Amino acid sequence: MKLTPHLNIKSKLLLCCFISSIAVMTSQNNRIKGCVTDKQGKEVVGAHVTIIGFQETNITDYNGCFSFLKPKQKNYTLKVSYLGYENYIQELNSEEIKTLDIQLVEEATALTGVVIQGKSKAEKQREQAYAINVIKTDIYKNSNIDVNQVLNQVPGIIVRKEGGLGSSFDLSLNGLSGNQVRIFIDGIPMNYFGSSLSLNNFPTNVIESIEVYKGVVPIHLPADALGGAINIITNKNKKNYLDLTYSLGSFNTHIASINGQHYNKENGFTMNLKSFYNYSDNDYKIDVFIPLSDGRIPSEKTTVKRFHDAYTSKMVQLELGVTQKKYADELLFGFLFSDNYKELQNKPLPDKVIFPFGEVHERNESYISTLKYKKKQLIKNVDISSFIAFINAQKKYIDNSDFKYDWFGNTTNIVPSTTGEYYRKTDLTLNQKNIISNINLQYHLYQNQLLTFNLSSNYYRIKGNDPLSEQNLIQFGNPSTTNKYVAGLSYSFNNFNKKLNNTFFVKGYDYKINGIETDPTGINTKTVERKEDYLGLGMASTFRFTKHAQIKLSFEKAIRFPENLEILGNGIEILTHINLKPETSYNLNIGYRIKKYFQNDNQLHFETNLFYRNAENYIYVRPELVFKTYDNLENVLTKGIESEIQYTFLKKYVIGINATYLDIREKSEFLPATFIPNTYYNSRIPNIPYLFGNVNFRLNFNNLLQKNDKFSITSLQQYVHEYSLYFDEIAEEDLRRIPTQFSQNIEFTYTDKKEKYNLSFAVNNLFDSNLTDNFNLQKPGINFNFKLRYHISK
Amino acid sequence: MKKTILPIAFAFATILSSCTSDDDTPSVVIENTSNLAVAVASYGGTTPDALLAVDNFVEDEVSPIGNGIQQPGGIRRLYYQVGKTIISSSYGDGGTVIGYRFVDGTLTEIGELAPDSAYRILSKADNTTLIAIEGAKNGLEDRVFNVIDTENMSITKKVSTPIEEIADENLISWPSGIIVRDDKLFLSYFLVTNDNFTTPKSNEARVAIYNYPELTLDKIIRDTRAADIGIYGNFNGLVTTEDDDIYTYSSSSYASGYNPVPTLNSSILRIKNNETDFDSDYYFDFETISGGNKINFMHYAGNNKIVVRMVTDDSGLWATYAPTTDAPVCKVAVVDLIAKTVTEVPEIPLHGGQWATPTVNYNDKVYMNISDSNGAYIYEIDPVTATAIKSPRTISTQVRGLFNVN
Repeated sequence: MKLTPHLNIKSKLLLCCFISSIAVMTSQNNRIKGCVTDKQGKEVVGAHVTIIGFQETNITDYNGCFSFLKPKQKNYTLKVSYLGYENYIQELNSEEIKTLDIQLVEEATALTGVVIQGKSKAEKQREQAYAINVIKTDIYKNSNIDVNQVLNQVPGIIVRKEGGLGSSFDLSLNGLSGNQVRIFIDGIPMNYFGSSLSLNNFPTNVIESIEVYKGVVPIHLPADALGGAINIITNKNKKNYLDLTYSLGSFNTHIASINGQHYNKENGFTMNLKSFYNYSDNDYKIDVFIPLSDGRIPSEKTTVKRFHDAYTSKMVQLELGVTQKKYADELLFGFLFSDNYKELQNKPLPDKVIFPFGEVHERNESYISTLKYKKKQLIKNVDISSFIAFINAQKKYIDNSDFKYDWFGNTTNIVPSTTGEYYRKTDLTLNQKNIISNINLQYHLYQNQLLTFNLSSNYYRIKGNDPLSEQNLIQFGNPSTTNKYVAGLSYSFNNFNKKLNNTFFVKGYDYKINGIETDPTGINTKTVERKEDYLGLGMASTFRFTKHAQIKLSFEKAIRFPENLEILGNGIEILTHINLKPETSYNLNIGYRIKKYFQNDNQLHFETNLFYRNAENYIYVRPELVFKTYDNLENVLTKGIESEIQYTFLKKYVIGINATYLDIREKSEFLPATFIPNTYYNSRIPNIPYLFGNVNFRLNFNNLLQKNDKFSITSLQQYVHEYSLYFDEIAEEDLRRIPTQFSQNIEFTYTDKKEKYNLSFAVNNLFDSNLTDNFNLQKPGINFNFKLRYHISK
Repeated sequence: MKKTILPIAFAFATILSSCTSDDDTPSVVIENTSNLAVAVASYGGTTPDALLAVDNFVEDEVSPIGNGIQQPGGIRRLYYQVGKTIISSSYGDGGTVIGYRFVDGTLTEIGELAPDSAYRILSKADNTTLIAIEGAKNGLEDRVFNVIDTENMSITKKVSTPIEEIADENLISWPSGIIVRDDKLFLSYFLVTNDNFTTPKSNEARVAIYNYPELTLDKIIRDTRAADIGIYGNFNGLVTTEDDDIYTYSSSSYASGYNPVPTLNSSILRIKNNETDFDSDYYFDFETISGGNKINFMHYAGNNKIVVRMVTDDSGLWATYAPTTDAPVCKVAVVDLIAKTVTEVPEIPLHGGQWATPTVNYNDKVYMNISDSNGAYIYEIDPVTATAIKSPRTISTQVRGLFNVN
């Protein structure tokens, strides 16, 4: 791949800064350093590390690591203790210079009567002041569940899918969706990765956890998110391992992944591989109205099989570098390739009659190079974490069939024709280049105060070609570019014995787009440049009033800039709207959270969050003359509540219930772009699910076939209350409601005692219900999945 | 006082009767005896329209709130009336065409059909026959006549024709009006470039004449005194009188989508009864007589009079397609086709134009949607006196259909 980005001065500066930061190394030979993990290779956070006979106690950080001055004497004894684990004791010689890699072993004896309260990293994250949900995905490693299904179980989130594997989806977080919610992989904004890498194909196996920030986004996730962010954290396991999975499912679905890591303790050399392959025919049955030969629509539907909905995607990512060196905790070069092929069976949002396509498809591929550098205590009390990513993505969209298809696979030749199956014949290629860089500096001040600075830049360029479509040539023929810079500064501090935790932050946005503005005939074009600066601010605060309970309060004035298409239009159908304002939202969360441990290993987790989103200049599409244009809607106000309760009995049986209610209202005084009083003032915004929830059960058994093996049954139920496609005030009867949905999945998982072989079997849509997330777009009926996973590690 | 007591008593009776019965009591349906209906568009255009029965057009507020039949939404719809049938047709591909009739005073769906692609123009051959034409906006593609039996909303015949196509200049025909007179179908159309909808060759009036019901081309008649006939998105290029004379209008208006603007004045031509050629003795220079206005829309009111929506400021391309505009450019006038007079209707203010302008004759008056960024109103126009009465503001952004099913 070519790495000849069009860097401007700011990005050059940032690059220099990045490189020089790597060069700055500190000699820390007089320190003892190490990291503590458990049997699974997970970091143990909060373990006590002491030298026997000395007063000083060190506590492992979020990465499970510690570092402190060596004692003067030559031989000494290090002790690591953590509740629920056996004490780790090691004799050390001060002349040895090495990084310690300590693995704790769980206490074998049953701790009857003793309550284990060691907090996982995820638990620590959950205790942050932000409104956050952290999903530890390790329980899904053996499961057939994909990321979207995992997210669907988070209160406040609903993912609406159009169909089967790889289908388009819409994720709504507390009522905001699309570009308003930003998605990251390890802190890198995912929407620039190209369409080949998305939440609908990313395998749960390579994910360690998922963080969902609601409304208020910390500065280390740099993007102009209006309604929150989702950060997918991939495996940071520090062990050598190999993980192979293969799953076979209904509709000829095959999903495979190979992941592994080699880590050399002696020299810190680290190599890791993440890869996946997905395929499905998605030929599930749906019920459709098939017009008679005279055009009339019969009263009965016919059951047909989808025949042009196949999906393939694959990805390989290789990272090479060193970890746990004195000059770098992590220095990794990465290369990622991903591509996909997707057939389109029909228009995205059909009304009553669905006309099938037989040849429309799209292809995407992305080449991504990354460089990551992390170092704690780079200089005294300063931690650095940074990355730079170069992305080349290509998207092809092809609709050039000379045939018209019906649901039975019959074709009619319509040569000569300029019309494709969807719209005018198209053979569109879009080339996207993207350079993203980020640098994050943390300065540990006196007495648990933390000052964080984050600077990110994002350069995006798109250019396309289409020999068949004038419209696409006008829109994409000349490159359009976007430069976004987001700088953030935050200050965190504790009071009252760490009971009160506060963070205040400001974010500065600098934004510039360049593109071509075209008149509706496509004849007159002119170059457009738009440049703007904005300031956002926010805070998050939490108070732990007992050992188990905390309240949280967070606020952000969030801003999202319009994308190129929204401002420049597409040259013909979508008009330029050069003065489109950025959308802003005032986001407020008040939460209460409790995690209580009882005797007999029973646990209670309860969390509730009240949220408020006051979005101004909400961006939407409005018809204008004979065209369309993106415009600002005066005001949309959302109030809502979400709650989650989870109870664990005897560490074996888990029941979880969550529910979300959204009150999302139109608050514009006048109808869009008029002085006509808005009759729908205070009406519920249509086509957004507003009442939904989940009930999950998980039963774990041991010693089923052999000693210490594991067997579990997981049952997932989702409820979505009916909602309207349109303002339901209009007309006598709402003929286009999306009916109440109740879906039921069940899964059986078996793991042998060495955790080498894992089997699982899932039944989705157990009751073969007619499920749909969108009006008249049916999802698959009952379907089955079988998954095999092989895992070795040392 | 008595007038208010009656409805209150009625309301109580309704509540009581609904309380005493167990369940599924049908709500009391007040039968519509006027056989009038209105289709209204709501909000920004992506929400559904509603088709509702009304007692009158201008006395009571027209509101779709909890009232009427929801139409498929997401894209604008075209409305038309064929005899006793109200037609509601999707302007986007993949949509459907629905027929409604008054059955026992209630608007009732009588059938629904799915065309291969969207109908661009709706017209009628007789009281139970709808003629609709499919037409791709892009590319050199045939237009497809659909003959539809409105008794059961079925397609009885399809005929494919380019009408007129100039392939090396990328020009295609866009139909703008249809009149069926005896065994001939008169179709007005204009020529547009198939990718960007410009009109480089519009300095000629054209009508294609087909044999009906065979739908074979008889001939194309042309006249260089006037420009292309009709405008995009409206079906009114041709009107016919009680004497079976056909009148056509040429818009020559930039604001109505002609780009470049034809050099010929906005004017009216005639095809006389029993003739199949333009009447060389008749030419009505509307633009000069009206003092510089251009015709955007015309509707036959009776007695050789038409109601005309005219463009007063022709500077903005497509500017007459903005029913909620805050810069309105349209006015209404009554035109005498024989005396060749133009009389502006003074009660109607400057307003925005629209697609498929709804107009209907009822009790010797013409009813029409008049809207801008302050709201949508129905005006009752008296073609004899050229005066008008305004309705209360409708709960809509524009009235899309006005129907008199009597």
